[in-house]
Amino acid sequence: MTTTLCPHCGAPNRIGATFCNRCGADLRAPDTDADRLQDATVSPGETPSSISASGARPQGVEGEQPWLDPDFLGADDVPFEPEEEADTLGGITPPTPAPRLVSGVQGLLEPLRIAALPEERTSSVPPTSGESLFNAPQMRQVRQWMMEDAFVGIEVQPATSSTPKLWLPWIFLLMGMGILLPLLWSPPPLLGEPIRWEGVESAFQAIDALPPGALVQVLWAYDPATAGEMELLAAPVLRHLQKRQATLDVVSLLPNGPATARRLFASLAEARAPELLEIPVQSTIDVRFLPGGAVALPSLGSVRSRLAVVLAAQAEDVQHWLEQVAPLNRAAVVAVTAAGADPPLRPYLQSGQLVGLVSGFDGAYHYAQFLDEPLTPAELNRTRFQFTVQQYGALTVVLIIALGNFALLLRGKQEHG
Amino acid sequence: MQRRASARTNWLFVLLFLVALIFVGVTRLDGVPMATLLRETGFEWVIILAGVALLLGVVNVIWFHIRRILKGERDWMLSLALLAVLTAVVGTGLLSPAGMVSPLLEWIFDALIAPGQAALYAMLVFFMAAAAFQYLRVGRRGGTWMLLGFLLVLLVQTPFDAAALGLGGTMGRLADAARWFLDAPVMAALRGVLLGSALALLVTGCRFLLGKI
Repeated sequence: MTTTLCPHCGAPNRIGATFCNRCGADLRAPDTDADRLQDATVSPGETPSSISASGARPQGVEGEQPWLDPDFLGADDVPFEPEEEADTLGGITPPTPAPRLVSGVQGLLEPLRIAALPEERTSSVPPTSGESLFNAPQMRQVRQWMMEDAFVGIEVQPATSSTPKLWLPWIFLLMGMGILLPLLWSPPPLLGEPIRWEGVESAFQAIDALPPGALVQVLWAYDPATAGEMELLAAPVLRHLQKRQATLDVVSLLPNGPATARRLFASLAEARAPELLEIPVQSTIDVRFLPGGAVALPSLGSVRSRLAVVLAAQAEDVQHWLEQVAPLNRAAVVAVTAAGADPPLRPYLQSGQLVGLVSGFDGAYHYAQFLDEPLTPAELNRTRFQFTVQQYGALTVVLIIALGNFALLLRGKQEHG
Repeated sequence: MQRRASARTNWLFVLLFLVALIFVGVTRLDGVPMATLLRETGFEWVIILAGVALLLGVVNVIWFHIRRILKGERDWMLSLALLAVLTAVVGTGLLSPAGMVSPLLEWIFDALIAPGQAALYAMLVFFMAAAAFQYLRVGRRGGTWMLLGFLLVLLVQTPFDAAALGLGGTMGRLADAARWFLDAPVMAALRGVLLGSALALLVTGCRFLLGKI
């Protein structure tokens, strides 16, 4: 595509464009920098266009806007003294007090003085020997520098003397050791009795009351990122649904959701408890991917199901279901969520919009207890191992917090003592 | 001139808003056959549109990275790797008779995608630990309350052995305290946040539609 270069910043623009895409300069205006460059390059016998032939300047302009006068010197217009740093600009000489480049702003503020055009300078201040002049590419380079955002590569934070400095490698090392050591060393587990939160029993009862063959919608709203916690939760609930011979209609809004679901269903089929072997379950479970996110959820409202189970790592997915689908098909909703999503969903449980809420390891543990199905040795080992590592990770976080406060205490004592 | 253009734009938004509002309202009508038909058709269109948008996104990604490779831009090798992986995964699914449940695709998911996603998410714990070190301080403004709340929830939600931690009879009381904490102040704050954010969104939307923003 043919383009035209902006005379102000040099950016390529579409031919016929009204304004520059980069700097917003008016590409139609005749008073562009290029024109002024041309105007300023006048022969000694000619008169610059801004000055009338008689030498009189337009009346009323300098009175209100004195900076439009080429001879105007502002408060900050100090004479430039050449320094050695000028070489660092690659031959570009810093500006000297002279008529300004940006002078098209007609009014309110004194124009910003970026640099001086050499040709304009010749009309007012005679060039001194040894000064190099700007050429057009150099001017564009300077303008680009001025337009670029300031680079802030250092985190700006109010560092007070009493705040211990954060050195991330130590924190990361400590956290890594807190997780890796239990993996390698197998320390004694400190497992206690998980707390039974409200909502687990009612979730169990809602599923247990399903007649055989009842249609249950399942929204699969987690992917492998959170599968470590969510699979522990989803496994007993799905096993219970299979035990009740429910017909599952599984839908996911996540691209990786169907594969995650298939993996869990496959592991459930492999590890079926002996008492479940006689119970017929749905032979094929088709997990659908629904593109469009929450906007497409109301399309599921036409499915007349007895129950909806939302397996979600985040509270928003449950909220979307309650807002978009539950009012349409009026099916009872059970939420099976990560522990972090529990607090925002408690109000929905108390208002009755959720008939059950199973969250976190605690919820998974108690739901499995209600099922009255002993875990297989492999499941038991995996779960105990996962809990143990989680415990030591949590203890490491507590240790890190204690260290932060201890360092703060020491620093305060040093300053005051 | 600019004001008139802005007003036109806002009226367009108002019109779109009204159309969407009527559509959503109709979808909520129960027992009206026409409404059900309209709802199902409308959302089928939404799903098709979203699928097409997804495909367009894939095409856009492919075109973007092809241009990067052709121009030899910086890190063009990464673009090449992305295209190679994309071609391999899509080709595997398309060429296999089993489609997306083909064994090779299942292996790609089990051996690459799932552990990769889980590993990336697990990195979060390091940054959360750093944030806890930095901000959960007794001396900071409000830090004491945040620290107490954090420790309470952590202690209650992690299945520690209370006896081993020396919290034999205390654990139950801590759990009760945490339950009350969640049921009373946290619940009140959350309901306020839910209602407040919904009202704020409504007011902001109305102001935007009326050109007050």
